[in-house]
Amino acid sequence: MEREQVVQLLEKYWQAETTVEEEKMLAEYFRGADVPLEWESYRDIFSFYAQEAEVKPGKELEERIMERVRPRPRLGAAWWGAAAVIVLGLGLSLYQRDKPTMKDTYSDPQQALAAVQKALLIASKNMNKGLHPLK
Amino acid sequence: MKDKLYRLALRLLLNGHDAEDVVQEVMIRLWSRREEWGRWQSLEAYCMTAVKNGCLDLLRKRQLRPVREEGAMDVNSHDKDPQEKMIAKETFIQIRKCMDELPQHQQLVIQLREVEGFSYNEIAEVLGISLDQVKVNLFRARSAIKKSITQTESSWKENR
Repeated sequence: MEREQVVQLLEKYWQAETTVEEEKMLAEYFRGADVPLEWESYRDIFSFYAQEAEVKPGKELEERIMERVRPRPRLGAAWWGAAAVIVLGLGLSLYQRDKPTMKDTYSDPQQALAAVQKALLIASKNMNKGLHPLK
Repeated sequence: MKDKLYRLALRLLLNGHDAEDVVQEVMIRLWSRREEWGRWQSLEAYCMTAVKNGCLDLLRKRQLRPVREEGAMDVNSHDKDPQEKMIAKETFIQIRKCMDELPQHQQLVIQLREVEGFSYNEIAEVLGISLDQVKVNLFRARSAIKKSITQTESSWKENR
């Protein structure tokens, strides 16, 4: 870049009139080797900004962030629903299996009646035992 | 993008740890709202604004002015001779000091423009200020830095 052009760009730069492109040209120029002594301090300013642009956070930051956003193996609502159905079904079937089932002991009603009467008779006999007054 | 966010946070907080914490929080919040990304104009501008606000909140909570942490000023070793390197280091310290003392908006504008190369429009969006304000802040900040460094330079030369 010609000296005249640099002077013009610098003028615009200090007035905050330069575009991003023009500022890139200036930065490029001041990175070069043939910067006159009088502009030494300007070169420092530009190289300072260039250095600032190299600053980076520690490596662990990225790991810490990834650790927090990584999708954990979590069961969705549908899976919880399915699991609930399975548990419920299993419980119900176990309950059904262990429930005592009624079975008829006599096939003939007459026999059954006789057996019941006999049982009741024994029971009432035993109940009446305690009714006699103590001697 | 996270490097830019970190540099912005560091500019305001002057402390690497705090800056990383703010960036981490913003990135995680960003992730949790990923369904909305499509509706945002600029993801980067959104994040830069979030980091800026996060930093200002932190500073407000602590009621403190940021203090530069030790050892944050290492100078790149360019291919200069030692004496020249030392002068560069002196001027770098001077520029940094000047930047640290600028009003917040000027600091932010300098950071976004000179370091990150943002356009006026982008800066206005991130900071929520007008284009004119961007320009005024940039003009003042550049003048302050120019003044500080040319003063140091001349006083240094006189002292020799």
